[in-house]
Amino acid sequence: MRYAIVGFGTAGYHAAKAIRAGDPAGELHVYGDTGLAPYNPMLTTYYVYGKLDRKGLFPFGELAQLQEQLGFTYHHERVIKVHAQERTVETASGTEPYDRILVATGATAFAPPVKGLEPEDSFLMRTVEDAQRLKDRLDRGDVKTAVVVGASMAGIKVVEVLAKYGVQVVLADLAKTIFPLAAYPEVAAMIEGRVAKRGIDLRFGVTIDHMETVDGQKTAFLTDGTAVPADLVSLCIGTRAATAVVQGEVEINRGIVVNDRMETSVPGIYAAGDCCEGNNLESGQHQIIGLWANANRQGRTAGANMAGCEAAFEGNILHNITHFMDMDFIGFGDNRIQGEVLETGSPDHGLYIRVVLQEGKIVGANILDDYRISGIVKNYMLRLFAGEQGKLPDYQKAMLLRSGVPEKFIDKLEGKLHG
Amino acid sequence: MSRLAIDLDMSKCVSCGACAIACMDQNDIELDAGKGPFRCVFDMEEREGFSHLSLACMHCVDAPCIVGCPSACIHKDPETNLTVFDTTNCIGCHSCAMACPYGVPSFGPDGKMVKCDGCYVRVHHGLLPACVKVCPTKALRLIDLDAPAEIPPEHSLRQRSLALLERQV
Amino acid sequence: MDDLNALLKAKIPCPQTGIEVKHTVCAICSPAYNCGIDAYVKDGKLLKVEGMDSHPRSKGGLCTKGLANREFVYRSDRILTPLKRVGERGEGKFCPITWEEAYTEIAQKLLAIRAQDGPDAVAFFGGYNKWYRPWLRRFAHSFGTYNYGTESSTCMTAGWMAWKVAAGQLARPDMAHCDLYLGWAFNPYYSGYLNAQAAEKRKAEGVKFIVVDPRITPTTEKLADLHLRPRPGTDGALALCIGNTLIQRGWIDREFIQQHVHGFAEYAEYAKDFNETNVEALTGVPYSQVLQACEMIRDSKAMAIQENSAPIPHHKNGLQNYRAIMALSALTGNFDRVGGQVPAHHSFTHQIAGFETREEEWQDATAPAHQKPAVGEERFPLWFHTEREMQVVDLARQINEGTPYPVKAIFGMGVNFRMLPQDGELVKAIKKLDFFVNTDLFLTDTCKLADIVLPVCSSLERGELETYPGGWAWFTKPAIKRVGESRSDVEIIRDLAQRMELGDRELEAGYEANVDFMLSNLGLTVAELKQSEVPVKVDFTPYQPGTRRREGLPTATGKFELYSEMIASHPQWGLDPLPTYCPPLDDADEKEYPYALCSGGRLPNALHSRLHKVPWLRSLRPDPTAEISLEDAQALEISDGDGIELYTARGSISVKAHPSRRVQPGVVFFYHGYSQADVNALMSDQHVDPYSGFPAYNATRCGMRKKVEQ
Repeated sequence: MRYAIVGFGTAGYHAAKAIRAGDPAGELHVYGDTGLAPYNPMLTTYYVYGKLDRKGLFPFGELAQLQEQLGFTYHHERVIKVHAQERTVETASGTEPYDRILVATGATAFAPPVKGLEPEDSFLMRTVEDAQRLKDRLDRGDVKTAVVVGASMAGIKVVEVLAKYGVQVVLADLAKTIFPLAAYPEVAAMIEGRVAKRGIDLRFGVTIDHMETVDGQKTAFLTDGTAVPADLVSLCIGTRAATAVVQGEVEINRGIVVNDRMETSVPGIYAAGDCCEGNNLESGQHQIIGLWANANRQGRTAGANMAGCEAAFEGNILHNITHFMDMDFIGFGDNRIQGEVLETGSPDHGLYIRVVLQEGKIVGANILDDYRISGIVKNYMLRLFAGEQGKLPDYQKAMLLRSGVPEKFIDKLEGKLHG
Repeated sequence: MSRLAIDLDMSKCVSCGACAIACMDQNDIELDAGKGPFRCVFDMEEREGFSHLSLACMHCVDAPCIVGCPSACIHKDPETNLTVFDTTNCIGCHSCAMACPYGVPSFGPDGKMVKCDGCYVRVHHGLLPACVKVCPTKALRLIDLDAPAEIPPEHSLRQRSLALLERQV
Repeated sequence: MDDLNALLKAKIPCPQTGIEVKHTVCAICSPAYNCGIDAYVKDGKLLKVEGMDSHPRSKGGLCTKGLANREFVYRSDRILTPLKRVGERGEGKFCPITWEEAYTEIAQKLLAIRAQDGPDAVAFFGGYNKWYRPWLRRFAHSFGTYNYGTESSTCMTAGWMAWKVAAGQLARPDMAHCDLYLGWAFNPYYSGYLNAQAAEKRKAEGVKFIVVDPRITPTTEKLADLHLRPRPGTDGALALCIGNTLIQRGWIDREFIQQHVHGFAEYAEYAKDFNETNVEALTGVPYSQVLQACEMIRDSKAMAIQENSAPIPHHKNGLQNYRAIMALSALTGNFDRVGGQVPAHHSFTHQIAGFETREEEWQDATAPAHQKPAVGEERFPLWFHTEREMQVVDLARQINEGTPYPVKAIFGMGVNFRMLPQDGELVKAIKKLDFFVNTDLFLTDTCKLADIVLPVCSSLERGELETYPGGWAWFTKPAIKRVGESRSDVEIIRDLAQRMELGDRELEAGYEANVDFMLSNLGLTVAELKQSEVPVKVDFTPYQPGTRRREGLPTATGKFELYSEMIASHPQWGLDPLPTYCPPLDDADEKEYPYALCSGGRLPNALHSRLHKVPWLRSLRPDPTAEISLEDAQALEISDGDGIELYTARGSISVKAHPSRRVQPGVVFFYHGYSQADVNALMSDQHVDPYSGFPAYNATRCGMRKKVEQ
């Protein structure tokens, strides 16, 4: 059996591991354009911040080491096309066959062009290269002001880095609130208050329009006409699934569509990680849920199926935990869905929970500051989506109580969900 | 290698806290420095009855925290299959906490993850995990997943929570 | 495979780490336990403790409290040198002095007081731990006074007294051979895990358990086949009703009663008043449950009854209640038989090991002529009659009132004033003294009142004799380096005996020589014992149950006395020869103080005041918390964690509330010994048991209100 993996991020790595577990003898070819071991895009800001050294960006070790462990051939090449019909992989150096292939090409940061923005002042935050560039630039010590566009999880981490370097930062987003894809407006307002207290200038409903140099100072003009000094601009607007290699070959929406075996519309072609659309357990729709753990599970599932072992990954819900500026924001589910709201705690006392209920399920939740309960709340949501009627067992309830969740709140929540 | 885990016989626990003290003694937990034991003891009063619990890492076979850690700080000890960690590269992102359906991982004053490591080095040397060693009612056990079950399934915290663990992704 | 750092971090005992495992004992609670410790030691420093697997009694076990020995031993307020007070009493200002200076001053002061006011002007008061008690007692005697007393004036002794009154000596339950265990006030999960393990084993073997406890506890949850829930302090009425029912139904051992019981007719007549018409009103227990208990007793072949230190005795009628409970053993013929209540005696420091030593002979060898009454003797004559020592409960009164004569000084060892009722009186009394010495490991609130404070070491830092049930003896060796300049309590007594020239050569000879004397009847020596790292089996003939039946009990009648001739022959005492009953509460106004305050029940992580300042243990229950009933909580709109005030005419304390189904309406449970919420300050030094002098810690009227947040 000849396996191919296109893209060697964490999904590809986990697939390779699963393939090896299921088929120690098969021929395994890994195609990657970085020449690097898998890295974690989420770690890039921590590297720039100084919490991690460069080695720390690569959780699983060096490429050579992985090659030895897993026994694969690494092709340091960009894949041009996967030909479904022919079962071949095309690169600049030629075309090679495969029996089963995994597309794990991830996602790329997306940024529209900004008029007047010099390439050297424009920064993304996705790849090791992006991180190195920003770090080098900040280490020069000449950055005093910056505009970060995109009040996303990545955006806020970049803001945190810049603030650490003493840079005066404006954070702008066209949305009306911070974390628009995860936070309820009420919770966002709480977070914005805290971020503003840290000296971050927040601008919502606007984005960058263009750059000009005014009196020798590089200046960003925002869409509302205001001008702010900006020695650099960081664009954290979003990512797009990298699907080009299978464009026209398999079914693609925003990402490559897969079933719960991580197989695409074409047998033998699998996809995993940020390039694919798995099942959203909440909506029942296909959706990209671009999360590290998700990519790991998808990669592992794909690899297992490729190696002939049966495995399924039912899907996931939108969830995120962001630890920044000494606080935690945890978001679960689709924050656009309205419903009955239950809340407890206070943003001033280390724990705030806001839960939105609909039809006996928790359709979304925001938690501020208590990471300890996040896994239990997520588990509860997942169980409810799976149709379980189970209440919180004592061992989960105990941990919630320990974190300061009032018993009355738990009773009320269970009462609403189970009658 | 064996596949070990620590399990609780929920019918035997009396919430005496011996396990938590042993954990703190073993792991040099300085409470004044903002640290806490890796094992938490509860004496809960429910409508239906009373629950006595001693909770710490369950050393799940397919541990969601391992999958969730962006820095791959958590791994399985090859000899015991206990879930152990090296937090050199821990960034304090709390992703492991969100992955854990038991609410186990916590973070010390240095911002790095800490949790029960099953006293795996003790186990390597033929000793029991500190909490298991001291449990006066033998409610806590170091169990071999490949041996016949010592704790009746209806009383085993591990068995009773397996379905719930399976939901965690 | 694990590198050195990993081995050190995991504290693996091996040559690479230099960590050794040394055997020693835990002395945090009582010498009746003294569980074996495996101490992980490096360079004389304790790194970790664990139960000692090779210990024949504790078999590798160690409880919540004992597991905190490292933090206990190295507590930040360990006293490092002798201290002399420089500030006001209670202020806690001291300067370090040398042992020489301390001994010189203590000897001069005590001898000067003796010269001026006589030996009884000095009280010798022992607190925790208890290992030095025979020495302190002899020290007092050699000084010339019976004014030796201990915290056991408020703990355990009343139970032994009840036995001395009834049977002339104490007895113990033979749980290992019974088929019914009457666990009266039985919650070993929080007080003595070895008993819990034994009970679980017997439960698995089919033994039935009746548990009598006002509260729902882990024991009632896990062990009880029948749980009787009397209101606190009504145990006597319940026991009398059980006794009466057994008699009425004929479920008693007539043959045993005829041959070995004195006063049955009087008892039976008295017990008639406790029956189906009133037992529920008196105790809260429905008669149907009494009957159920009686049927279980009827069907049992051997019933053993739990002995206990505080829950039964800590009542106004505590000793009588205790007698009423133990009467059931006599009625059913379970006294002095296998599986019942077996006569026993203390081998050494209150441990019932099975063999006899010459401890008692040694400790009383220098007993002085009895001239002035000992402290408390006039008020609690039965106490002095059986114990021949002062009843400390009366000490504060005597100092404050100066009657029948003034006490001018206290030589204290580990004294904790919070063990006494209305303890502000004792603080006041101590402040009046001419001289107060206290020893302790820690600079406690009591130490802060002292003129001289001496640092003592823990059991891990000294060697001592231990004895254990099953006939074991052990002489431990110091496991770690002593903290600071601390010395052992007995070394201090020896040094002072020498310094004061009391003429007691034995006492001056020191601990090991004294133990050699005590063991001489067994043909054992300290030197021999020291050759073993673990307890050794002593060669002796164990007591055969039934011997006392044959040979007669050490009472006036030679029988089990339901009607006590000891009491009857002292009508001036004004005490009842029968185990009579009276309701438990004091006469405070019922409307103003509608709750029964019940303090002193055990927590797994605390022992009196000794562990509240050990951070690990305190963390298990950080706030002083009262358990109250759901009904009372609802009536007062109190939620879990709310602040409440508990108050009596004597004061009030602020604590947290924990409403719980475990508690009956009208009852408030609280733990004692907290410096910021000292429940004993609410107790009365008048609401005490006239038989034993024990304070009524388990049933005192109190008020409760929700604290209004500021």
